Amino acid sequence: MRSQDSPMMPPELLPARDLLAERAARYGEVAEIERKVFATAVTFRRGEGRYALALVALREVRPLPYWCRMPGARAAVPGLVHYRGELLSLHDLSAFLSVEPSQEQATWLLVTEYEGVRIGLMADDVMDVVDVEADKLMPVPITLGEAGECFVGLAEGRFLLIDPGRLFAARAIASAF
Amino acid sequence: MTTGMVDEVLAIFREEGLDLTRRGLAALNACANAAGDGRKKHLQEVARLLHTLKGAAAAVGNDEVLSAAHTLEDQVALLTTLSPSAAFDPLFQALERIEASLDKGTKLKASLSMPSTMDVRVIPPNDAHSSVSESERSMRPKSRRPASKAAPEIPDASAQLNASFAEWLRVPPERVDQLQAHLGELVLTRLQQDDLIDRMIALRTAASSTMVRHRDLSSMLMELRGELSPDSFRRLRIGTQALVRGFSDFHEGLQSVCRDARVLQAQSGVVSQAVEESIADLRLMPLGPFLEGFARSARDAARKESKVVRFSVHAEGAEVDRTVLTRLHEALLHLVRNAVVHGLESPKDRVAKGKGSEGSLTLEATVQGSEAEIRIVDDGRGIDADRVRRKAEAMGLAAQDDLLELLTHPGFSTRDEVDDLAGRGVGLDVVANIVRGLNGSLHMTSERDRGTVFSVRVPITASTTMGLILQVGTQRFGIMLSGVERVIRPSADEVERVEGRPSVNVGGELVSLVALADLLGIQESEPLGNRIPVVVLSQARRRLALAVSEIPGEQPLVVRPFGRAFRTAELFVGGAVQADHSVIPVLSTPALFAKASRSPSRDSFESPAVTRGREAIELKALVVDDSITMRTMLRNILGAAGYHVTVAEDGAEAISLLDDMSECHVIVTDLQMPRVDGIELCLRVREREGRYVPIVMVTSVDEDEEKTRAISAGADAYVVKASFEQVSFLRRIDALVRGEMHSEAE
Repeated sequence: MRSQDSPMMPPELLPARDLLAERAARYGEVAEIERKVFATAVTFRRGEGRYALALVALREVRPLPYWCRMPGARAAVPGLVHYRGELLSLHDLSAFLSVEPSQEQATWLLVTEYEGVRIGLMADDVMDVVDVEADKLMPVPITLGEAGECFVGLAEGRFLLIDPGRLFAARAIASAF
Repeated sequence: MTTGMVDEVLAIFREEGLDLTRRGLAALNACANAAGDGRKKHLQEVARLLHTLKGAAAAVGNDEVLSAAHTLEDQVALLTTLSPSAAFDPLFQALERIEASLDKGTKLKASLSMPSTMDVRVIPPNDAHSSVSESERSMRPKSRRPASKAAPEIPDASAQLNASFAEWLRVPPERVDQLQAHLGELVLTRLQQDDLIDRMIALRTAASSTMVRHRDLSSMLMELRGELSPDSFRRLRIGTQALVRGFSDFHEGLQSVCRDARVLQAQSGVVSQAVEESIADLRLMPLGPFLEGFARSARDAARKESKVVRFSVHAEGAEVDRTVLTRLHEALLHLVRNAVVHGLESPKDRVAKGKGSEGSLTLEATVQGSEAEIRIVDDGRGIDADRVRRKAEAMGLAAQDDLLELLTHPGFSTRDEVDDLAGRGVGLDVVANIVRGLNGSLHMTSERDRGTVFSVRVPITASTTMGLILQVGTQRFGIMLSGVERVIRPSADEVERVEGRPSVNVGGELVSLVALADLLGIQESEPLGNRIPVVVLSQARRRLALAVSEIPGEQPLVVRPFGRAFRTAELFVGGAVQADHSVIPVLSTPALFAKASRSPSRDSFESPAVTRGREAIELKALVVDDSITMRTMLRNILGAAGYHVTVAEDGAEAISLLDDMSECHVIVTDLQMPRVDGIELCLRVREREGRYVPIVMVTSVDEDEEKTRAISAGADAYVVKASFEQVSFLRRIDALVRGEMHSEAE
């Protein structure tokens, strides 16, 4: 695409102008729409909710053994379990998000790590690993309220993609008291 | 005087002299142990005792004791608040020699000379104050070691002073504990460092295998030589050589770092081990003075029983950890009292058996390796095995060969009357518990008419990892044994209520009782059975009794800290991982005390009827006071609060009114009244049949002694007139009446 000749341009600058125009054209090219993968995540279910956790934040998935309930702790952080020499706190997303937490016995443990700190997410089922595409990520349902800030968005229309940084910082799910 | 009278006087002098010298020894000991100005009163006491001894010796014409006491008096006068420990040693020895001479009736050595080191060590008061006032550190002498080092004749007083100060340091125990806590952190860091080093070594191994691949690359390049242009080949070869060289340097560097790290690891391991042991040593306390502290109790017990006891301690050099001694104190006290009360016979019986009228009680302590043994030896009547077995059978206990097993059974007591001194028969089981809690063992040997030996064996250091498992409902918790004083199982009716709050008698003291379930906020569905398992916690001088569902047992607990999520857990210090990987939360003793002192929101010992509505019953109160003003005031206050009030002028009238009243829900009485006073009224009311009536004592006497008397007589609360406040008074009455009402509902 060549620009219109500017009436005021001095003749000796014409080659420079052409060069600039060529460059502008190149940079202005619409790039081909690539399939942008935002994150590769493991999907799991806890109670009525379905969630996705990016693999970069996942340390391990293992069956959840009998765990220790801590008296006085909030329902979203009910207790802890021994994991590789440390006392891993257990976090229940269903208690965090809904008024009526799931009564199901969680059978899976997703060990989540962020900035060197580990917590355990309780899960009833662990499903596939999916690629979450950036442009297919929908906003978090507004009905979740403040709790929704711990999630990046809704992947594939049904999985709440966890934002580990926010999750670890939100008191209502990160701290037991 | 006749010969008989002389003998009698001499016997009296011997007794008095022995008493004086022994008290002198105790005072001297206290003096040596005290700091700075605290010594003054003990020094005065010693001087006073010596003076009395001198007088007595002069009166009976015992010149040796007279002059010995006189010399001692002079030497004691030279002692000051700053004298080092070694200064006391010759004095102890001298006093002991006087004691021995009086005891055995032998002559004292003619010259009771003091060793010359005395002169060198003692510092005149004037110099002492000026040179050391700022940096004064008090000294605590160890056991009575003889002054082994004869100090060289150092003319410079201050250097001499520094030398003696350098010997001893008094350190508050909390600092040692803190040091130990820091060491714990250090050990943890060292373990993490070890982990780091292991990872580094793993990297080195990975690097080694990469080296091999580089070599392969080089040889591959040689093979490709023919296919590349010479220039390309040359460039490539230079490149790979540089790569291999560089990597080889890196590998070598890593090797050497790993080697050095391993060496450092070994060294720091040795050092931290040594530090750990040194800190453990800091906490060691000599057993000698500790055991001598029981002399007074032994003598008091003997006096009460009209017996005579000769108390002695043999504990040269034996040392045990401070916390072990603190926890052992009550156990040993009980054994000492037991020996005097139950073991030793009366002087008459002893003489009839051909023994000396004076019973002997000896405490011996020895240390072998990491275990200390304390033996309580008496030469009394021994244990009557048959009587023990018969009593056990009567109690329904299984027959046992091991007498000690039977004796340490809870509630066992072969003495028919309850004697307040040696305890209500809860003694030996408590002793056994305490010893067990220290990872120790209790042994006993006994021979009829010859005597009994109780032997307590404990490790000299307190195990820091032993814990107790407590069960509340189906949940289990751990608590470190260091905070646990004992475990008791009172029956439900042994739970007393003081001011509406449940308490239980522990060793003669009323201790607040709280259900652990209430503190934790756990709903305990199981009702408390007849025997309530209770853990008595102690911290500094406070005690707390914790009721639980069960106490499964003791085990080592390695406490791990919580992660961020549970870090703010109020009542827990961390979790202990069991062998089966399950986690038990471990309670924090200080936090339990803190929470219990804030009123618990629930009281499990009240029946669930609390939540049921109350029927409208007219509450009747009886006010007893000899002052018309008080009667009127109390009648008005209680009346306004809805009580139907009857008044009485004194205890006697109160009793007769009580007989007439159909019901009485609370009695508010004065303490000091004519005819029948408050205490007497309490006793009489408690004797009566029928419903329990809470009694509140309102009085102008504000003294602990009176308060104790009132509570013992049966009062539920004690209000001092000076601090009388209407609202809280009514609240207390209400709580007491409510408590009473609910036990009726049961």
